[in-house]
Amino acid sequence: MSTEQVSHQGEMEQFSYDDKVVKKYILASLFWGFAALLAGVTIAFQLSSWKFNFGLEWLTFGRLRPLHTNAAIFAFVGNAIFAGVFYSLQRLAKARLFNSFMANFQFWLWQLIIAGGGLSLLLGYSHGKEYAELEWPFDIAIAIAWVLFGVNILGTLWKRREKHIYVAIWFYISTFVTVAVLHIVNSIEIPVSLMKSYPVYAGVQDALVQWWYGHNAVAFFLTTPFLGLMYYFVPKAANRPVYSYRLSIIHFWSLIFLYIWAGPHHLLYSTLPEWAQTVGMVFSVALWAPSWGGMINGLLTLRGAWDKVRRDPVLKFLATAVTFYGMATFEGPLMSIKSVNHLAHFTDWVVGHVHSGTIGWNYMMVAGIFYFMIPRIWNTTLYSVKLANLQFWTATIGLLMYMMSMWTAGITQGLMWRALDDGGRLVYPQFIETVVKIIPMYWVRAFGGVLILIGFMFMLYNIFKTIQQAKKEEEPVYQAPALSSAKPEAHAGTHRKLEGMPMVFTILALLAILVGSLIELVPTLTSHKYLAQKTFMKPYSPLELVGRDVYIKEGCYVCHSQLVRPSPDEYIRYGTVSLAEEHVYDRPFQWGSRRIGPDLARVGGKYNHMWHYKHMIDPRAVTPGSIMPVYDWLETKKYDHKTLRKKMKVMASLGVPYSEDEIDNAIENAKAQAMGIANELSESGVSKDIADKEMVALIAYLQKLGADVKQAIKDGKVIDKAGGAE
Amino acid sequence: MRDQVLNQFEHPWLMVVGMILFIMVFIGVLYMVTGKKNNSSFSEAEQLPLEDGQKIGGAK
Repeated sequence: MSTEQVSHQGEMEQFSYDDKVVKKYILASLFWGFAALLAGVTIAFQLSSWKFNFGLEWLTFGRLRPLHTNAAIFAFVGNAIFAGVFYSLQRLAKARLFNSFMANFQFWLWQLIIAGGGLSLLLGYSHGKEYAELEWPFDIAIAIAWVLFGVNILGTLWKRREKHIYVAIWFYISTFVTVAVLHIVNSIEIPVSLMKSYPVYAGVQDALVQWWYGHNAVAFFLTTPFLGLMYYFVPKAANRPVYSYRLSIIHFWSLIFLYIWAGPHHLLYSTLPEWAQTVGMVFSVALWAPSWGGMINGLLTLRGAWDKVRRDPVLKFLATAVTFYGMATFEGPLMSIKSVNHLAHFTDWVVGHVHSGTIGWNYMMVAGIFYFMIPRIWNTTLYSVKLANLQFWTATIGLLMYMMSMWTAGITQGLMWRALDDGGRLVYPQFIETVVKIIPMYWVRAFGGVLILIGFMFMLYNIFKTIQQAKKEEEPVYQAPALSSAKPEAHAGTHRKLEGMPMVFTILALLAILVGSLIELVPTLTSHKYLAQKTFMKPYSPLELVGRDVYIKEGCYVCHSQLVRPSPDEYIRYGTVSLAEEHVYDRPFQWGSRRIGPDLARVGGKYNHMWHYKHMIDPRAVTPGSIMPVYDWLETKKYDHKTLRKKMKVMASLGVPYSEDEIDNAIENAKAQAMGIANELSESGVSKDIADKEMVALIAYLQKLGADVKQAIKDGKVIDKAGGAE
Repeated sequence: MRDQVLNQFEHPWLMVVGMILFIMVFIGVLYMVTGKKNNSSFSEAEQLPLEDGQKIGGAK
């Protein structure tokens, strides 16, 4: 239990708040925030010029980009959430944190996950699913840390002195229950070794679960906790009550109910059932209403306080954050409309949209909240308002440069991909033409990122100096009436009563998010249509399976998609439209979310082995202008054959039809296939012996992509057509 | 196969149930929050973030 000292003076109770753990989370958030932004700026420059990959295996874009996203979301924003929630929860509940030891244990566990997870990503240990890249030991640790967080929220509410839980706490509760459900369901996987596992879901099913998780990681990790923080810190900083408590009730319930359905908008024009795509789109559009309801409630709370917004950096950051929230939640539903999505998807428009949320909403909120909390809990004043203002303008200008360059790059590239001449031919048949065109925008983005990073460094210095000038004081003591002295309200409405019952509230919030989750997931997950039965697809050979793991390890999925959408331009550029059936052995699915390079779903057989070899050693030798990093270590690193049998056994347990003979002879079969590729390369002039290297495994995998579909078309098992093959 | 899945989808009622559930919940929440009897309690609730408890000193 906590170290709370309680003494009774009649019905009044004395207590203090545990701000020591809040301080730790603030400092951790600042530290990781700098790391996340530094990684972000680095990868921005890597896209401007491939030379910024420095030829280092652990510093390539494919490995650094997952590190950037995970550090930004879980390290920077995650620690800020814990700091803000623990600070505001205690004050709203008028109670000390339920268990300080638990909060501290969670703190160190979380930092261990971040440090270990970050290192593992640089070393190439990746699950291959965006924002869920960390391998299974980290997944378990995340679940433990998250449960500790939830227990502390509910425990603090259990010992609260305020009868009714305020709207901010509703959002904290929904954050806890939903992230727990999302993380657990998306992380069901079978370990192969300490740092390798395969998901139980395959292909279409894996895609659905992943983007149900992925989108709701945005919703319930980057949005709902920050809405809760908005409802606490905006009134607090403006010294005004929230504009409309009624609106906040409608905002909360409609937002959490609707948000959970929106995931499939990441899979429009894919092989996901059409109804699920439509439901995802419709609910995404419907999200406009509650999102803007929340934004309006936040901004109108500042009514009569706009003069303060000009002077007070806290309110300046908070008001701007809420404004960016409004912009991002307008843009998101817009991009979910199928026709718009067809242009925006796989382009940098999505990247710009994401950063208007994470920088405009999350970073600005964090800055405002930190500038509010830090002087108070360190018992001092802000070192420099001017520096905070300078940070604000630097970050805002940097973000605008980022967003506008990405809009321009995204729409330009999207239009170039689909451009057809009067004869129905691609105007830009070479994919690289569409990349070279947007490189100037990548430079603008990179310098925008530098401004954001510089602004962050201003904040680091400002906070360092603020803390440095703080005087050490004993923990303040507060008093408030005991909960037992609270009198029942004579005419309390239903929701008012509900606000006095945190456990019932938690259960209702859970039900609200389960409705959409179950309706969307269950039909697809229980359908046998997505499982390997009588299919023209052949399971991956042992060498192809190893090559697939190399593909995942190097993060190829962050630049290359494996999904041909049903449109004329994609059919002409890539080939037959993707089929659900061709992904039945894909664990994890690798459809991707961005085409910095071309789609690879039909790359098998398109080029010979030598082309792929040259492409890995020096991409510009075969594709002048390419921004792909050099992967020359693939011809010196041996592929992992020790776990090969175990991998195939795990795959077999999940339904892949590997015979016992195939599993027993996996290593020999892999070697035989590798020797064939190595011999062909040798005949083409490759002097090195690379038969046991990762290079041949990756080439084997790339040559497999789309090969079975092309064969099935030749055999008449599949009808080839642009509007969707059968 | 994609077309088969679309044509043979066996649960169209799920979408109807979802829509009805949503409308019911939305109307229910609207009914709950718009009643005038909540005026005083909502005014009280709005003040919650502005009260940290009464500070009585620096020592425990």
